[in-house]
Amino acid sequence: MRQEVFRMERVTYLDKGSKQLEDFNLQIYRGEIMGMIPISAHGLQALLQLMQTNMPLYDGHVYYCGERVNSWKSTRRSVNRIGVIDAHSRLVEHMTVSDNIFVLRQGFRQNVIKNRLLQRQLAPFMQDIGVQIPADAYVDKLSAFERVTVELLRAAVAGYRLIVLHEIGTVINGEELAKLYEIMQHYAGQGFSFLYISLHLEEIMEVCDRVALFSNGRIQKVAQRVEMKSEIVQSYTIEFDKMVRYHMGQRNAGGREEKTVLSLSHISGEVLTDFTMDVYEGECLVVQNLDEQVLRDILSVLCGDRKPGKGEICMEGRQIHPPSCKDLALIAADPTKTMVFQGMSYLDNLCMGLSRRVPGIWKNTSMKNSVKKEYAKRLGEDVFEKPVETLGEKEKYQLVYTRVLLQKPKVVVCVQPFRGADLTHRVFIWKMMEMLLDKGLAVVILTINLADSMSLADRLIRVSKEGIVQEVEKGKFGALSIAAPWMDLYR
Amino acid sequence: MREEYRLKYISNRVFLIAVIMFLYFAEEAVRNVLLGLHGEETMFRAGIHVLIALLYFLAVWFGVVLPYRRSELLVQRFLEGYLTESRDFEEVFQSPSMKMQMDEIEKILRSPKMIDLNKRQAQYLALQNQINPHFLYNTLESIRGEALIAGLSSVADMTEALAKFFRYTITNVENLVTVQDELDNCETYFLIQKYRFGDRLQLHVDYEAEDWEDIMSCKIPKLTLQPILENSIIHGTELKIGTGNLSIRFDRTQDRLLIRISDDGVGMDEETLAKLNRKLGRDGNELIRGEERKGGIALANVNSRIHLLFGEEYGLHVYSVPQKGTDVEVTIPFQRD
Repeated sequence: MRQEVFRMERVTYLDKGSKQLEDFNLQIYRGEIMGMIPISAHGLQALLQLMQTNMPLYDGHVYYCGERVNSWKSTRRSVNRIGVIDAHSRLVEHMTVSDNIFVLRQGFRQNVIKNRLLQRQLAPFMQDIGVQIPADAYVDKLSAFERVTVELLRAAVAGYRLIVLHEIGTVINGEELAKLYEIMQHYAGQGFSFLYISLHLEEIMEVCDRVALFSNGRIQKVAQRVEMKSEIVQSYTIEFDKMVRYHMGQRNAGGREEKTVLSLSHISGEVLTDFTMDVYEGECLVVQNLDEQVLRDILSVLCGDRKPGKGEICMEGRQIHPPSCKDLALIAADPTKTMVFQGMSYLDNLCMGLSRRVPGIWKNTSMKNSVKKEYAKRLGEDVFEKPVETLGEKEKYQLVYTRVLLQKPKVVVCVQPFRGADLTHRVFIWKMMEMLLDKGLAVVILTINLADSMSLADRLIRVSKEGIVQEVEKGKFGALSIAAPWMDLYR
Repeated sequence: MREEYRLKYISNRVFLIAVIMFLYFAEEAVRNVLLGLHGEETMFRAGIHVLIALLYFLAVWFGVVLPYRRSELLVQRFLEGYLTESRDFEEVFQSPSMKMQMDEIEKILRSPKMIDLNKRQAQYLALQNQINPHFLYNTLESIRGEALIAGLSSVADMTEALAKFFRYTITNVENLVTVQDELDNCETYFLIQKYRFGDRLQLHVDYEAEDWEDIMSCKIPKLTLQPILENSIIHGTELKIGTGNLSIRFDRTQDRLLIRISDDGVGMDEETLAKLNRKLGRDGNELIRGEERKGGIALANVNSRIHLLFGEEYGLHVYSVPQKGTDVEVTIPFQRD
């Protein structure tokens, strides 16, 4: 007999009049690792919010640990003891691991904090999961994997029976992910349940007992483990799959010359020391950062937030200072939130990239009109009239990538381009990046997870705190022992 | 002015008067506080006025506005087709006559006649015709006899299955039967369909071995599974080229029985699926509302009977992927007696 830990029964939830979840059904059993693939992410944030807080429902009921905690009939606005772990830390910075796990726990009643006692109490938990994180380490000094582990431990110690892991694959690398699965399985064996939300079926198949396909605020299908390899589940990735295969064939056909456009030599950051890297013309270079801090270091140097130490950054042999360099464009993570400027018109948003080449663009109405005329064919007439706040996700992605195209840089650096995008948008981002490559631009993808990026890559560099640990040309991708989609195509 | 804000409605007039009264109390409170600060009035008197304004506001907010909003929400839901119980209104009735009105509606909705009507509808859906059962059994028995004499064992078996199916459908008049009975009837129905589809149709039954006995003795409404299975064949696998796989999976939790009937047929698009689930979620008191019936009648009927017997928390939910298949999940309270 299965025991239900969490259940949403026919839930319809409206947020500011917009339907986020409709007739939504979900059951999670005790000791189960339930997977969820957001095909369309509309309503996913509302789901996570509703799992944690009992907001007023339009219809339906929510049950947690056998008790009805929310219903359309009555809402207590209480909080459910469900932990959510995602890309953003929920730990209290400037406090130690043991403080975060024990002291901030509900029901901790000791007036005097005995650090040694807490450290002793934490030791068996660490031993159980085979991870060594110093109890007195400050959480802001932890690596992404350690941070996720501490959050998981905190949830387990606090007695949360259900823990949600949302797109964890985007913050920790493959080896760490495998270790995390072991920890999850360990706790699942002890009766804890997990909801593992990921866009990658490969990750879900690795660890989950069942998978729910989430689309537009509804569950389209719940598949058992044995059904995961079935056509039904696989069919969602078919379009993406076909596209990737076609692209691989196309790019393999064309040869490339190794002409260096961008070079980073001997740069150093907070953890990174003496890092050197070359980017060749027209290539897609994937830089996998085995540590989140390394990614932050490279990024801060490329953004100009940090000086490259003793080293330098050169564009076609000439030294550059990144923020003012018109030949280098940067697409930040979550660009629809960070790179679309509200309050500005669509056209002004689009022309931002151009302003580096044509300083007087803001007053030059005729030039802006020419841009509008030229790009209306590609973007559509309507978008120019819309306030940017009302644009859909796809339109925002299109705006950001077209802006870069308008800038005509030689190198485009994309930071975790697929993070936070659902399956539909991933396909679109992929097409946009392919468009940049087709125009002959070099694309550098800074990422932690290789899943989607590998399909575009011509070259892979894996970087840790110690510097480059591995550099692999496309021809040798097949020899890589990483769990990423389409790897079999390289073998 | 938007319709809901017009003063022709009593509620809006009451609300307007309440706002005017509040403004009066608030003005009195502010005036007395200002006089108190200038020493022309005692602070005690000013405090009393502030308190009266505050109490008035709280009384109107919690005693009238919030219950009224809830009452509006309940009526709205009822109009949208959700099943609303009289007890949901308990604390928000606007008048005794409104309470009586709701009791009366509920009586009609939950009357044995209504359950019976739904059950009969299921029988009619299964048979599509009102046929004299005894005449039918006798005729089928005669055909079977003739077939055996002629050495046509497949015709005899088919006739036997058909007779068995009709007997179960028509003669057992009780509301609840065991899962075992329902599953037997499904297998009989499937056997009949096999004569039509041959090897193009496959049925799998899946369950946790340790729960099997408990599940089989669980009571569920009669004709719950067969109409769904029929639906899966007609709207799912029949329209598909190649072999159609059907499966029935049973799961039990601490207090519920979950039955999932799946097919790998043509499925349905997102919009149709949303419409169907909306229909099932809102109970669709179609018999009363007299709505035109289009598609999903069998599912709506089964769902309606489960709602009437066990409450709105139980019922049917449909999952579907276009061109890949449909799953119908039935949720019923786990009860053996």
